[in-house]
Amino acid sequence: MNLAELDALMVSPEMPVRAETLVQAWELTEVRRPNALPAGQVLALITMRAQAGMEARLASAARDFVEATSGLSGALGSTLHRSPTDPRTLYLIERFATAESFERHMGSDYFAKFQAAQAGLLAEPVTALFLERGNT
Amino acid sequence: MPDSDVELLHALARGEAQAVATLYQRHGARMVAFARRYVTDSVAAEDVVITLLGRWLERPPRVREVEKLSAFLATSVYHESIDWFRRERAQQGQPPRSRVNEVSAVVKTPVARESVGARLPDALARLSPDERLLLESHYMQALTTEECMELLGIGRAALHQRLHRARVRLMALLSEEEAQP
Repeated sequence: MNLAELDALMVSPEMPVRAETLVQAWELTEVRRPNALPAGQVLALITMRAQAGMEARLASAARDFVEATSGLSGALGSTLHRSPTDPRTLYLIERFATAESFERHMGSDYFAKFQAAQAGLLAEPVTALFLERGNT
Repeated sequence: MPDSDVELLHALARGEAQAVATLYQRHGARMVAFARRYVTDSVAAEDVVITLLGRWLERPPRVREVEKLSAFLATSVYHESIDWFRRERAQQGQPPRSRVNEVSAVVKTPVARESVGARLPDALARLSPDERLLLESHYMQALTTEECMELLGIGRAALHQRLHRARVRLMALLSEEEAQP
C-alpha cells in the first residue's frame, strides 16, 4: 500500500472521529449570530394529544395538514412526529421564512379545516412553542 | 424547565418536548454553527439541526449519567451532519462518502475497502492522540488546519510534516495487519 492508496481507502471506511475531538471542535466553533435561525424566520413546535381511540384520526388529519402546509409559499418545513412514550401525542415542527408567511399559514383554508377536524379528537388544547423567542 | 444541563439532558431522555425546545433555545445557535462545519451551507446546517430536533422527539436519546452536554450535542450534531451528507450524495447518485481526495478514489488498490474498514479501529487505537487528531481532521474535516495548529501549538509546516508521518504510520499499521493471517 502507498499513501495514495491509503487516501483512496480512507474515503470509504469512514474514519471514526473521537468524542473528545468533536468537543474540541464544538468549543472552538465561533457563533456569529445569536439566534439559530435567520432573522424573521419562525420555528414552532406544536403538541397535540388525541383522545383515547382517536389517535389514528388525528394522525390522518395532521398528515393532510402537513401536506397542505408544504405547498404554501414561504413554508420551509413541516414534519409530523409521534411521541414514543405516549402514542396519543403528536408533534408538529413547522418552519416559515417570514412572520408574514406564518400568518398566511394561520389564515389559510387548510388551517381552518384542520382546526375543525380536531374537534372531538383532542384530549386537551393544542400547545405551541415558538423556539426562537426569548433566545439568549 | 430545568436550570442545569444535567437535568435538561434527563428531561430530553424522558421524551419531554419542552426539553427539546429549551435545548434549542439555549444552544441552537451553536448547534447550527457547528453543523455548518460539516455541511455545504448555513441553510443545510439549519436543516440538520431541525431534523435532529424531530429525531429526539420520536426517539429520545439515551443519556449517560455523566455525559456532558457539550459532548452530547457535538456528537449528535456531527452524526446528523454526516447523515445529511450521505443523503445528499445518494440523491445525486453518488457513493455515500467521498469528501477527501476525490481523485485518489480512482487509484487501483489491491486492498479490499471492506477489509480495511474492519481493520481500521485496531490500527487507529495504536496511534497517538495527536496523530488521531491530525487524521480525523485530514480525512473527516473534524477540525480545520488552523485549529489543529492552535491545539497542537505548531506551525503550518510542522503540521504538514506530522500529518504526513501520521499517514505513513497508519499505512504501515494497516499493511502490517494485512500481512497477518
